[in-house]
Amino acid sequence: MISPEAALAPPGIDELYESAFPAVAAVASKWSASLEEVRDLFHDALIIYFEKVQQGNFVVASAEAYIVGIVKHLLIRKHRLQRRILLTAHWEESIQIPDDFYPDVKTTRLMLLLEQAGEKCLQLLKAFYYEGLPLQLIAERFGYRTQHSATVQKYKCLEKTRRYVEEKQFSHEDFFE
Amino acid sequence: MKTSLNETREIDDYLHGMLSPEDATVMNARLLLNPALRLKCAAQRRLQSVVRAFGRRVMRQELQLRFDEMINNPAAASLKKKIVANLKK
Repeated sequence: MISPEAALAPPGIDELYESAFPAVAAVASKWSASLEEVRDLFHDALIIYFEKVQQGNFVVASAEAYIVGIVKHLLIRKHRLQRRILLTAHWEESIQIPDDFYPDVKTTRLMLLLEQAGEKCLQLLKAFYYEGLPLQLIAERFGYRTQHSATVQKYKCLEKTRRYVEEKQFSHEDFFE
Repeated sequence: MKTSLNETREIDDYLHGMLSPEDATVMNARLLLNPALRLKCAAQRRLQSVVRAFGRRVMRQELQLRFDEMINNPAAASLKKKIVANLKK
């Protein structure tokens, strides 16, 4: 028997490939002809959906319908379409794509530079801020003996990478031009 | 923790709205008066965007691997057929 928690749990990725991908392909086919384009749109929608789930207090009647809704917003943005062409249900209007979902050039360049200069720190900060993992799990994943050590390391990494950002972003403005 | 790490933590708490209203007011005043602190705060805010961009990039790579595995699996033949059929609609 499925527990109430399990019944309410959001569907997993494999399940969503099965249930939502064909619907996304049908919606996107008019504007994105190739399987690769639709795959990328679907993956972006999955990422946005899972970020919402991870933030908590997020319940939707149908994860599949919500993902199709996100894809519609992504198509509107990508092809500069009129919203009314795609957004057929009232609730779809309320879907929001994070402002920085497609990062600007500066952010992308900084990310690529930091991947080379401080990938371990970037991984640690990702675990804290992006994945929102509990301290215990982070300590285990990164081999810290205590949760306190993991916290201190987080601030050390924040400081180290922030200095790098300051140096690149503010001392070499022309680097980004 | 070292003083500089405490400051980093304070900025982090400020950016994530975790300071008390009183402390946030004090921080706002300090930011107005202290250009060096403003610089640190701006860089730390940018860093948050960098971390999100990195997180999404890693997730895209993981999804890509999963997709390749799934689409090449004979067990997913009917799903693949359905997707391709919908793409042609």
